[in-house]
This record gives sequence, structure tokens and C-alpha cells, in this order.
Amino acid sequence: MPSSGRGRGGGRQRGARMRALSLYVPGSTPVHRLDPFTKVVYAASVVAAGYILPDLRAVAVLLGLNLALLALARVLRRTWPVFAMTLFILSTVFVIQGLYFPGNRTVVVRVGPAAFYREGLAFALDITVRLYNLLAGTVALILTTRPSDLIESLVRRGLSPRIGYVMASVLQLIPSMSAAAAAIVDAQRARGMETEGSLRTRFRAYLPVIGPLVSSSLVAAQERAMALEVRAFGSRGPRTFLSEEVVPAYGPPVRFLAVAILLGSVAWRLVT
Amino acid sequence: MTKRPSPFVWNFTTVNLVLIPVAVVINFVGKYIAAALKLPLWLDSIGTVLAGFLGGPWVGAVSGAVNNAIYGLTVDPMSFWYLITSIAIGLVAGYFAYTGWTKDVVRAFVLGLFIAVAATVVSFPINMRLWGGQTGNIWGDALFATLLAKDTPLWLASLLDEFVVDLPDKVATVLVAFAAFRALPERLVVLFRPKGGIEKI
Amino acid sequence: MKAIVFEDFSYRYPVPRDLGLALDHVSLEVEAGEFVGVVGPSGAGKSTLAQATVGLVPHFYRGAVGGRVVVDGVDTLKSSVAELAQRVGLVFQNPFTQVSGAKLTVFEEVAFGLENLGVPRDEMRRRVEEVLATLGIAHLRDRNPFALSGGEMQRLAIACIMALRPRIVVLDEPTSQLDPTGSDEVFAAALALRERGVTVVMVEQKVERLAEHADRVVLLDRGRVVACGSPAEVFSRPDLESHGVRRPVYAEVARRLGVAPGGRLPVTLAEAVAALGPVPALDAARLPEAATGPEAATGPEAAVKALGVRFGYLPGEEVFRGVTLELTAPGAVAVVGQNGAGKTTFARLLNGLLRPTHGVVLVDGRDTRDHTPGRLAAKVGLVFQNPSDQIFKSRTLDEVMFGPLNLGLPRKEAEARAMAALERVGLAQHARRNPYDFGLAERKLIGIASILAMRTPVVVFDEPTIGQDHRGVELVRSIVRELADEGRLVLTITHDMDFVASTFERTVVFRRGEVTADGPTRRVFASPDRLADSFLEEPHVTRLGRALGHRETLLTVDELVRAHRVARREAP
Repeated sequence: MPSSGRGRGGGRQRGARMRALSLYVPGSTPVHRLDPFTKVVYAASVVAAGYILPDLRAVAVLLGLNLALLALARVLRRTWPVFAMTLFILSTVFVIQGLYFPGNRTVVVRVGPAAFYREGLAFALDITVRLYNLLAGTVALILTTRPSDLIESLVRRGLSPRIGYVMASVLQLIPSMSAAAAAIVDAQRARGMETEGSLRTRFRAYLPVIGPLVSSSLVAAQERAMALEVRAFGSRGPRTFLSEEVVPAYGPPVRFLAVAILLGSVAWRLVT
Repeated sequence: MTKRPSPFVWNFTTVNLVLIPVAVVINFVGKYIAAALKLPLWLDSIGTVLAGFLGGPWVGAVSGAVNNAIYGLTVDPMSFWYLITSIAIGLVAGYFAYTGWTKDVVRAFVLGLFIAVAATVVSFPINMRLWGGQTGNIWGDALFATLLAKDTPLWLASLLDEFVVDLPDKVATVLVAFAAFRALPERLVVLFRPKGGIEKI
Repeated sequence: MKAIVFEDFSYRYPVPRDLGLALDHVSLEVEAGEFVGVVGPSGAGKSTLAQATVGLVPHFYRGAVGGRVVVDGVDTLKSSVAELAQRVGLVFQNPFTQVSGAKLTVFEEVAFGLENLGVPRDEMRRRVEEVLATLGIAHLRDRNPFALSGGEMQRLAIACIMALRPRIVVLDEPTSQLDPTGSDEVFAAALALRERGVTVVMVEQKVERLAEHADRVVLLDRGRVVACGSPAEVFSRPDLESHGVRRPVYAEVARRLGVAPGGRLPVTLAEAVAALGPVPALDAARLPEAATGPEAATGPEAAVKALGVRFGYLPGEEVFRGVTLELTAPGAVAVVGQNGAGKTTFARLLNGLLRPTHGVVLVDGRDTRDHTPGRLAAKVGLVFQNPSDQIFKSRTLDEVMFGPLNLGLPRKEAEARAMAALERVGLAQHARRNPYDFGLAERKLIGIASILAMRTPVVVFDEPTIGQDHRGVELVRSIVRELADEGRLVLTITHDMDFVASTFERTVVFRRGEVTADGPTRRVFASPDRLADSFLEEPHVTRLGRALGHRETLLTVDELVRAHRVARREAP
């Protein structure tokens, strides 16, 4: 188990973890400059359309569009690892559905005693294309948008600022609470706790680590709540924003296009 | 005796709002510690369950939703699409905690079963749509394949696949959350569960 | 108009039900523009008083209230905390939990409260610029709030409050978790506010500082106002210590020498020098050097040996570039130095939590690289600075038993040791209570007990006096002395130089990963310039002794009093 080294003072280590945490890739491409809300509308539309469109070839076109956007944003290289995470499970989908899909009728190939069926493989292909469309659409938003900008953008459009606060503070708390957890591990090892060995030993180490983290973070939550109250967090009046949001000229057309794709796929679905 | 207020009372006070990000980070760190100790469980919803215990079903549900939204933004984009599972976990934990199911360890164990069932019921349709019914867990998917080979309907195989994966994990999650919850001082717990106003001396 | 008026105000927290009044019929008035200090032992109600001023008591906790508090003309009961925020601000102890966590830069963090209040953008920018300049943190504007030092974070917290333009600011022990540099920064910030006409109320344990700056001091004990008056008046009270408050060192020396012009003790360095007068320049009887030191080592084998230790968290950034140090039992050794000098890292090298990249650390002859920290825990007990890093049981006794049980002791023996340890820190009668029912001071004592129960030959304390009141510090001191007398090696990391001077025979000074001084405490404190080089302060007693013209380095009030008497008697 990694040691924190110097507990909460470990600014440098915290910084390192903080950077590793977000999937965001900084940049200044047209995709990056697009306002976060437009990207949310786009991502939600293409993902939904991916599951509404009746024809898999149309979904493939959509997937191609998403990949083109990712290329335009110069984040394709960061996209592959996300796709790769699903490779193993998708290959098992092909095997299991190819062998056992309930609608299986037509044998395509036999490997020893096992028979792979066309219907099952087609089903697995359908799952795969739609899933990659979903991933590509989501990733186009995430890789090109700073999480804090995304949250602020949603607050401007009516998301409760209190929920906005909640989401933004998660991002800041993860590194600091991870450092706290590492300090706890150290403190318990200093009292003789072992973190390696049999499964039983390792299970026994879990509660002494998570327990102090829960108590101390809830006490900290109480203090933070008080500190927020004295900074007028509970104020009911209208609020303002320190920074202005810039929506590029091509923002509205992109939103329009995204909604059109969604409505088009719904219409297609209804007529077929 | 005062009547117990409805568990579904809407109490998003500042302290409960601040609880939500803490709960989400407890989920993160809980999962990280489990991985570091090489435990064969995820233990990635301890915070959501605790948020339900402390703040009630709505606070639990919002913690679940924020958890998956943030996880989707920062680590694994697939997580977005299981948002509703986490919401269900928070809701169920909060509802049963407020109706007395965190009194002792036996009840907490049963509560773990409830949560496993809730998580399964909500997750398996998503698995069906996204993955053709699988969970990605080796043991669960092995069961899935075996069941399909025996002509079990796809939905049932998918449901059982999810359930065998969720059962030990969610029961362990609730037991850990329960142990941590029991160690909290009353002084702290009452802050999250407002009852009664300011009295006069 | 009065800035703050407490009118017969009482308050009780909602739980535990059996707890008495946290504030008991408090009546108090603070004039606009005043700087008022608040002192009292832990549990006296100081934080409750601070929180009642901004309305958190009772709005945040609920509970029961009697009487009223009027702040800037507004009754706190009839106003929300958000409304009050524009009249009165509160800065808390812990700099870390005051950062909102929702903002990525210092500039945005300061603007957070203004966004909540709906202040227009241009006005917001103007105000943020202004407070950043006032508090001297304009250069930090683009930094992440979590990446700041404690002192910087605390000044940021003050800036966030000041941006809302309150006319009154309450600071609740704002320097208790900071190192001396950080404390200086925060005191300077508080004084800058006073310069600008802001009413300042400051809860603080550092009585010398209050004596120097406060217009008035309020003494609180068990929820009641015991005294309220000028620093000289309050700190001259004969019953001060019985209320758990330490007298400023300057006043204590004067009291012991029977010097109290006009019935008032001098409370600042300048006053003390004026009242006690310089001693004639003569060589007073030499004081004995501390008995044990590295030269006087008697043990056959050093308990802890670091030989050419090199260590770094990141490749290419070494914290230690070859540290060699031998520490022998028995003995009490202070480890001092600025934050980031490597003190805590060194402690973690001793119990194997960290391992040297080059060189070896030997504990009782064992190489730390060959044992897990869990095994070394039987040899070296490390008490962490923050007790929240370890507490996870709902019963104090179980918490203290965790270590002994990990050592493989049978339950009965573990329980007996745990009870003995709790007895030692004065918490035995509370063994069945939840550790979190206590305040931070007692939780730190539980942390100490949980290591004492392991009965290790080497005990390391990391900042044991932070957050302790006068009685707590005295308790820690007696524990350190007792452990050393029992034959153990006690290492204590601390910033409290008066505590070092009066407790430890040997002192090791770290600066940027190097040992810059090591020897009998008296010799280490003999050169104020060398201390300043390592960013250390002189103990108050030592400073007073020097200011009075004593040649020797005086380390305790007793020594100074004795030396002063001798010098006076022998004067021509």
C-alpha cells in the first residue's frame, strides 16, 4: 500500500494526483472552444440517437461523425484507451452471444464442438457499434471540456447552484481525501496494522482505514458547512458569476444540428 | 412521543449538501483502498449508503447520481449510464435507515440484501441494452454463459449474472457503512437529521 | 453603536441531552473598532461564543437559547446567517476546511461569497483585488487554494470573509494549527484589519501575543465570563491559572519576583524590561548544563541510529542528502525546524513507514528495511499529529486497545494496558464514551494513550501540544518526562519553543533536510542568530533573560527568577 509520505502536507504529490484525475485534455481547437452546454446537448443527442436509430448502418455513420470530431479536437490518441477498456468484455459478448444467443438459428462456423451462429454474432455486432457510438459521443464532451467549466455552464442554465457546488467540490476533495487516506494507513500501520498477507489480514485492514476517513471527513464536512454559511452560501437572492461564458458563433448551429439528428432518428424509428 | 417524520422529507440543508461530495469521495477512496488491499470486492458505494443513512433517501439518491456523473467525467465514461443504479442504492439505503433498519448488525445485513436486489433490478436492463446482458465480471459472466447454454431466457440470465456479482459486494458495503455509521457521535448525526427547532431556555 | 452586545445570553447544544449550558448567562459588550482577545481552557465555550456572534449558534445546531446577541444593531436570532455575513465574519481554526473546494484559484475562491450574494461582476473584481492586496496574498491569486501553506490558506480564509465587507471579524484560534511563520502572517493580517477600523475579536491561546495587541481580554471558563478588562488587569489576576489559562511568561516572571507596579503585572516584553530593570553586567553563577546529551550518553547501544540516510519522495528531489544521527535511550529529545524541514519525514523513517534510499536506519539494532512497519510498531510508537487519522472505534477503550491487540497481546492484557494508558492521560473514567464526543484536545490525548498502551521503548510525538490548553500542555510535559525517566527514548516534533526549553535536555534542529544543530538544549538556544537562520523563534523566557542583560541562556521561568535574584543580590 502506498505511503503518503507526509500526510496532508504533501502538496506536490497531491498536485500529481490532481492532474491524473481528470480526463480533460487542454486545447484550443474549435471543439474545445465550443461552450460546454452545446457539447452536452450534442453528446446527449448522438448517444440517444445511437439507441433509437433502427438501422445499424446509420449508427455507424454517427460513430464516424463522432470520431471525426475527436480527430478535429486532436484527442483521438486519448480515445483509444477508453475504447480498449471495453475490448475484453466485448470479445466475451461475441463468444457468449455467438454460442448461446436465444435467437440463434444459422450456424456460421464451427470450432470443435462449439457452433457460432449468425444471429448471435449480429446481435453482438449491434451491441458493439452502438456502444462505441455512446463512448465516442461521451468522450467528445469529456476530453474537451474542463469539468469545472461544464458544471458552471449547467448552473448558468438552471442547475441549482447548490448542486453545482456539490459537483465542483468533489473534484477538489478527491486529491485531499486521498492524501488523508494515505495518512490514515500510515497511522494504523504505526499501531501495528498489517496491510499485506492473507485475505483475512487484508480484509481486517479495511475498516481501520475507511473508519477514520468517514469520521474525520464528516467532521470536516460540518466545519466546511459552517464556513460556507458565513460566506452567504445559504443566500436565497439571485447570484452572479465571476466570469462570463463565451458561446462561439457556430454554437447555436451545432445545437440545432444535434437536436435535428435526434428528432430525425425518432421519426425514422416511428415510420419503420 | 413525537411522530416520526416521513423518511422522504426534503432536507437539503447546507450540511447535507456538503455531505454529498464527501460521500462521493468516500466511494472513490473506498474503492481505491479495496483495490490497494487486493480485496475481491469493489466496495465503491460506501459513501452513497452512508449519505442515505445520514441524510435520508433524497440525499442518498443525489449522492449516487453525483457519484456516477463525476466518475463518468473523470475516470470511466461508461459510468454515466449506470447513474440510475447508484440513485437506487442511495434511495433504498436512506429509506430503510430512516425506518429503523440500522439498529443492529442483523438488520444491516438484511438491508444489504435489499440493496443488492435493488441494484440488480435496476442494472440488468442497462446491461441488456449496453452489453447484451453481461456484467464484465468473470464469475458472473461464466454463470451467464452457462445459463444461456441451458436455454434460460436472456433477461433471466442477465439478472442472475448481475445478482451474483452484486450480492456479496453490496452486503459487505452496507456492513462497512454500518460499522462506520455506528462509530459516529450522536452530536454529528443529529446535524444531518434536523428535527425540532430552536428551544427557549 | 456597540459592535457586539451579549445580553444575558445562554445556550445549550441539542445533544448530548445531559450536557449543561455551553454559554451560561453571558453578558458582554464590544465597542466598534476594538481588538478584543478571548482566553480560556478547552471546553470553556470560546468557540460557542465565536459562533454565537455570527448566528451559527443557534441557527446551525438548533438547541436551546436564552437572552440575545445583538451584532451591529441586528438581533442574531431574528436574522439568517447569510444576512449576518455582511455584518460579521468568522474565521475558524482549521484553514483546510474553510476552503470551499469548489474553486480552482485563490481569486475565484475569494469571489465565491460575492457570487452567492449576487454582487455585480465589476464590483466583485474590485473587491477581490482590494482584499488580496490588504492581506498580502495578491501574488497567490492564480494558485489552487489547496496547494497553499497553512498560513497562506488562513489568510485566504480571512480574505474570503473580508470581501463581504463585514464591520466585525471574529477569529477562532486562527493560528493554533500553524507554524510560527504562519502565525506571524495571520497576526499581521488581523492587525491590518484593525488598522482599517474593523472590530476584531480573537480567541487565542498565545497569551503573549494578545497581551501585546489586545485592547481588552475576556476570560471565559465553564461558559461564564470570569473577567473582562485590559490585558494587564486580566493577566494580573491571582486566580488566572485556576481557570486553566497560562499567564504570559513576562507577567509570570514579574509575579514570581514580586514586581507589580500599581498592582498590575507587566504583560509585554517591553513592560517587563522596564519594570524589572536591566541586571548589572556581571558574571552570574553558571547554570548547570543539561545532564544528558550526546556526549553524556550512557546506554550501551543507541536506541535509534540513522547512518548516512538519504531519502526523497520523488526521484531527483531529495529531502535528506545524508543525515546521520544517534539517539540513545533514555532521553527526551526535541526535534525542531520550519515546516517542510523534514521533521515528520524523519519520524516516518524511524518506524519504517518510509525507507531510506541510501544509508540505514537501525532501531534497537534492527534495520528498518527488513521489517514491516507493523512489526516495527512494537519498537517505535509514533503519535500522529492529527488524531482523526486513526480513530475508528465507537468506544475510547477499544480504540486504545487496537495497538496492543495488533501486537498479539491477549485481550485481558491489552485491556489492562489500555486502561493504564487512559489513566495516564486522565481519561480512564470516560473509557466507554465515543472518542468523537470529546474535543480535539482530548482526542489528541486518546491518540497518545493508544501509543502509550503499546509500551514501546521509543516514543515519537508529532506536535503533541497543538490544540492543547495550559493544562493539556502540562500533562504532555509530564508524560514526556515520565517516559524518559522510565528509560525510554522520547522524540518530540514541535514548534513550541517554550515547551522545548522547559522539557527537553537535547534538541535537534532540522533545516531543509539537514541537521543544523544538535546538542544540549541550552547550547542550541544560545545563539538567537543561529535560531533565526533555521527560521526558529527564541523562547519567550530566553528572550526576556537576554533583554534583561543575563549572559547565560535561561530556559525556564525558574531559572530566570533565580538568576535575576542572584544578580540583584550580587550587584554592587
